[in-house]
Amino acid sequence: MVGKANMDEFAMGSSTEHSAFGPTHNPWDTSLVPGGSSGGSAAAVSAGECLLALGSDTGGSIRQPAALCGNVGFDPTYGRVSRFGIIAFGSSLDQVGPLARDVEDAATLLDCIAGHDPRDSTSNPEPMPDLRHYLHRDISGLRIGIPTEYTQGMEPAVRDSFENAIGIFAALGCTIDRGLSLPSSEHALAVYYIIAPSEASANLARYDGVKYGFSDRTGATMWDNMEQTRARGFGEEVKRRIMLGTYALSAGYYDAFYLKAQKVRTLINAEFEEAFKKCDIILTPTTPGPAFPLGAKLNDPYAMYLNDIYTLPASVAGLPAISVPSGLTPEGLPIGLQLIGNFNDEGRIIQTAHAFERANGMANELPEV
Amino acid sequence: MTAIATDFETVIGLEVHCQLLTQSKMFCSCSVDYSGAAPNTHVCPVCLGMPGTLPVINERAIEFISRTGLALNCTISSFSKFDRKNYHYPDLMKGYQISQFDLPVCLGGYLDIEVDGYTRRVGITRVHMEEDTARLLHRTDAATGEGYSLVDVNRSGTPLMEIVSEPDMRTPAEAREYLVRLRQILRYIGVSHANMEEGNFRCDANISLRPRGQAEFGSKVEIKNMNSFRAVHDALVFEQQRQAEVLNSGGTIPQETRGWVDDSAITVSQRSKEDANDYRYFPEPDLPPLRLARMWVDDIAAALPELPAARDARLRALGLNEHEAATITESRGRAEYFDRLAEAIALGPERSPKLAANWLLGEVSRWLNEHTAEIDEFPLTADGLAELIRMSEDGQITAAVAKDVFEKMAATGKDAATIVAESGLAQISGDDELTEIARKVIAANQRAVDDYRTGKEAALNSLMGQVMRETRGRANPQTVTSILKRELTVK
Ligand SMILES: [Zn+2]
Repeated sequence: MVGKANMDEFAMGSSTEHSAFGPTHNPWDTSLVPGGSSGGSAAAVSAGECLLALGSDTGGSIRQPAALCGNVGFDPTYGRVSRFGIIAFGSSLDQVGPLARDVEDAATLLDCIAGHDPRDSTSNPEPMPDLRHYLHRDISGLRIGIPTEYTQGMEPAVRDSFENAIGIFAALGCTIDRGLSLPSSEHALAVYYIIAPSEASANLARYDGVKYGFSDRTGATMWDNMEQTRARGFGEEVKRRIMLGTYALSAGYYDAFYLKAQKVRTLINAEFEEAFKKCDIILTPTTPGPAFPLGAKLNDPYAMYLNDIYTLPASVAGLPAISVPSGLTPEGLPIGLQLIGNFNDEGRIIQTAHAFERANGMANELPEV
Repeated sequence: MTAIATDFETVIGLEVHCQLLTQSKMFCSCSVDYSGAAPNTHVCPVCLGMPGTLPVINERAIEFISRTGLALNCTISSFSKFDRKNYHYPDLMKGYQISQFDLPVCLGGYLDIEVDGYTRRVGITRVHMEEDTARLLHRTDAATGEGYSLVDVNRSGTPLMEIVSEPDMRTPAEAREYLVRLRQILRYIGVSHANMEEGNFRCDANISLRPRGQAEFGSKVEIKNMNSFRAVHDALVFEQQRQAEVLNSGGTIPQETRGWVDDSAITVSQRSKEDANDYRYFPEPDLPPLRLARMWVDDIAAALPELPAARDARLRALGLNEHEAATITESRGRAEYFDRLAEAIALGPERSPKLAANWLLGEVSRWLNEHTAEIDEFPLTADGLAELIRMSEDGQITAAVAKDVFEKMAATGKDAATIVAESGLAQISGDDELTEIARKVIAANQRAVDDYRTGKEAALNSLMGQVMRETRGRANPQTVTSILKRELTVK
């Protein structure tokens, strides 16, 4: 083990700027963010500081920094990797996965960390197939679906790279369905920003200064101490999400927010289920744009949240999804391509991503640091 | 102004929290056998609420709550789930309690209770599963006089079952009887010690008053801090009285939580409805929904023991009176001992149950009281005791000797026949032998003889006692009486 990587506090963020240790910079251009929340892991791989890194993905926190740093980042099916030992953020969404320079390395690392764990009751009982078995395979005949809805905020360079990727898949003999419709996916952002903060508001309740960690003991009463511990101990983004979640679960708001979000989540799942009857892999860009300057979105949480607009639907549905480098912007910044697979279909994702990687010829591209 | 006191009807509902007798805690493998253990010795990262830990459901606890639901005539849900109940308190390690909100394991049952000769059916709204909290120990710093609290996490995560009744009880006596019967059932089915004083059986009460005949309920008051059945009863009596006085003097009862203060025997306001917590329940994402297979539930139902009410009815049908049946069925151990004893006595359906009841409520109870022991600690097997009872019944030994042999059996573990043979305690019924002893006694007690002959019948008892002393209690009392009478008249 080489070291521990920087990340957004409690994995809440899309830029690794919300860290008590300070922001992480993007190795491709140190004035830019590496993405987040697992931005430290992505930056470390991309800077050549390590071969492999682990990240945790709740709404895109592996895939988005992988895309912005030019890595492969794989968020497996919910439950593939035990959550035991992971500091919980959004328990029904949290997944651990690999960040690597190429698909083979990512597959190798995921093979090592996946598997059923009786200590995690949400752990997936299905055995993970040997992912290395899916490398170097032909993908002709594979059905690829392009959802019409994943276009919000897409920058031209991303669009160009995405079109190029579709061309590569066509050339590899895949059938391309450009008419795939996932209409509820546009609500994934809203669903995510209700469910994840709701779960987080409870998961973070234990940090009250009574048992461990930062503890403010200057108050007159126990309640003062708890309040001050939490007010001073947590960062702004974390407190924002605790407030969001607490509000969404409160009496009188629960039905309108949390319950409704759960219902929409069911709809999103159902649409994916239908979609996977028609295709094997769903293709989208990983992010609407490349890495952005440090501080650019810090004061605009919504703009920051929009970074995850393409990665959130798979997270909400618990589906496996990988981000592989698809090209560079004219300014030379990496762009990621997202491949979403059906439940427990990691093998096919590796197969497809590896075929694309070889055809695209952009693996192991590192910035000059 | 002449106030005419309204005739109020009292409405009571009870919520009982009860620790389950599992080996390990609800969501981790820590032992729940921490009574008497040093603080914080039965803990692990899970029940300490450490970051990164996850709960795993204790299957045995689910079996126990299902058993409880079945014993209380509930429906066992084939699909239920766990929820998080959110609130901050230093004894709540995770900052939320894993409980069940809208889909509990057991729904819609009832418990019949009998008070003053009438039967009341008390509805059981639900029984749900949750985890206990840690325990706070409040201390005072000897030097500064400042108060502080310590946390003992041993109790954290202990399986806790909440049994919620319908507001079906109408008097404090009914409430107490409900608790007595509920405790009895929980002990019968072996799911809990159900001991209020030890804190593994806790009760909160909801009470409201309404003018008799009115359908809608009055506003209810929740009472907490009651540590015994007596406290529950007294708190309800007090609250019934207090609410009636407030209402009769034109006041209203605010919906609130009140605490019972045992020393001064009053309730005091603790929290108004406005200050009530919003627990923000939501489904526990760390646990999948609980799906209980029909067959699994059926197996538990089939393995349920005969419950107190059914036993009681059966014993009365065997000819026992109400008191005998009730006392014997109080505990499952005693009731089962009774069944084994009655069967082993084997003197027919007329005599066996009655004999078994007499001995169980007589000698056996006395022995248990003397030794402050439970029936399962009683050293005599039902077969061994039955042998003694039969020897006494067919006249091999006298009733007095039987009691003596009983003691020796309990003390030595030897069987009745051996003790009787070894100590020559066999009953003397032979006319010649007893006549000889009787004559000796008559000769030595002239005064009693005179008394008897002058009409003092009681003097016979004194002579009888002398014969018994001479024979060390082995003489057949009937034979001795007739011999004495004969000898005294002959002269
Ligand atoms: Zn434990």
